[in-house]
Amino acid sequence: MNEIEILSSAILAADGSSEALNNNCKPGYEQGLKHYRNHYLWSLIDTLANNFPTVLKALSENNFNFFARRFVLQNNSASENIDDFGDGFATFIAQQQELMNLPSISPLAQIDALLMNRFDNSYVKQIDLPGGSLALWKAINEHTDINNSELDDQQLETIALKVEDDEFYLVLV
Amino acid sequence: MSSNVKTGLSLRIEYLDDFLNNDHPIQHFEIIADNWLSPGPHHNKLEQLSGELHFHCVGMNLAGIDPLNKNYINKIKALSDKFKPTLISDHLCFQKHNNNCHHDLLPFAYNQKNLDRVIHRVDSVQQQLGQAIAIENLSYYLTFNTSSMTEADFLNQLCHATNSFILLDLNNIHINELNLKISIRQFLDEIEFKYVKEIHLAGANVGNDLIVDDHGADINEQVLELLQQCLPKMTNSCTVFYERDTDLPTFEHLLLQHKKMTEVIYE
Repeated sequence: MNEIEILSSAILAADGSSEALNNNCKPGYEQGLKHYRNHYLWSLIDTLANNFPTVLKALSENNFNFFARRFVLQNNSASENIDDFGDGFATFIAQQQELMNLPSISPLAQIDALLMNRFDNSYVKQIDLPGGSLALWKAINEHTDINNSELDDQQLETIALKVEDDEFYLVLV
Repeated sequence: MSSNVKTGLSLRIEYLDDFLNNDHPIQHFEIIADNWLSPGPHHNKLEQLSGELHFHCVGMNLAGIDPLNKNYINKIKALSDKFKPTLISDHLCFQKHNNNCHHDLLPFAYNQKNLDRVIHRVDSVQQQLGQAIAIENLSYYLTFNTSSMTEADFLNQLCHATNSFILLDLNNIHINELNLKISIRQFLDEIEFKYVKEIHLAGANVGNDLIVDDHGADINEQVLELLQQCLPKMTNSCTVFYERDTDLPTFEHLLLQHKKMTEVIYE
């Protein structure tokens, strides 16, 4: 393996392994690798926080970072534009065992994903979610009372992304 | 001091309105081109800004092994056709491997095999862009046993082979000496200033273990001294930019940093 492959693999290694670097780098490389790994992880975690702000608010920072870190370690970034990172996060968050007792998180993530992809013409522009999802999403973002916000799986609502005067907004259709 | 040394500031979107709405002496700007690839109101504002523009890229992956991303280079070319920058630059590093983007500037070994590959890649990029580029020396946090030459020697040979230029980042060589004991003196003695077309100054984040090149501080005094040492060696027209990307100060403070830099150059 050449040194580019070795360094790239060491940065991405979920278990933090760096044995190959030991044979290829001058002494003292450990601090450098730690820097590169942390920069990689936290750049992408911060990007997820920017792209899924409602999920961040709903889970609070520590919990969000826990799941975001798990997502980053399982999903590489394929686009040079870091702001693109997060495809599949809404599906991922819905599958997390620890969040099974928080069924509202998945709809919130899907609405955040709708906004994240607002400039992507190939992305869907409306989604069907449990009734009350948009109201809950707005309540979290506007810091209003969410105590009476319950989602209704039996009564779905269609949420659409609209554009007017270069501004994006979400509506029920 | 060469009268061909100009000064400027890296331009972040956060300061765009400040530059448009206030009197200021800045005549040279550099943008991170990757942040401007999608059109929008910020493009209209940039068109209103008077002054010379440089593009600084972070996605060419010049030292990488993955095929060059021609789609990305085309986007840079399209932006260049629109704004006609004086110079386009990127870094002597790899940024992506096996289609995994690291969103970082990563080091590699300086040896003949890698030099041959990077020469080929720089030639391809310049051909696609239709102009020569400048290549920046790196701040890095580890080094490889398989390096058989210095970074300065690698850059000199690369520029000689490809007719490209050097973007000399003085903050980076300062950081490399502090973190890895890589001699500033040796670097500046070795680098061929006939290739230097642009210089970067910045400040770094002094952490517990490492000094990190985060462009989040005022210009380091030692880096200003390095600039003074370089000025007599400059043979080309050159622009010196102050980079500030994090912990953004007020607009007025930014202008003060530019003034500080200019006073050193013109004293």
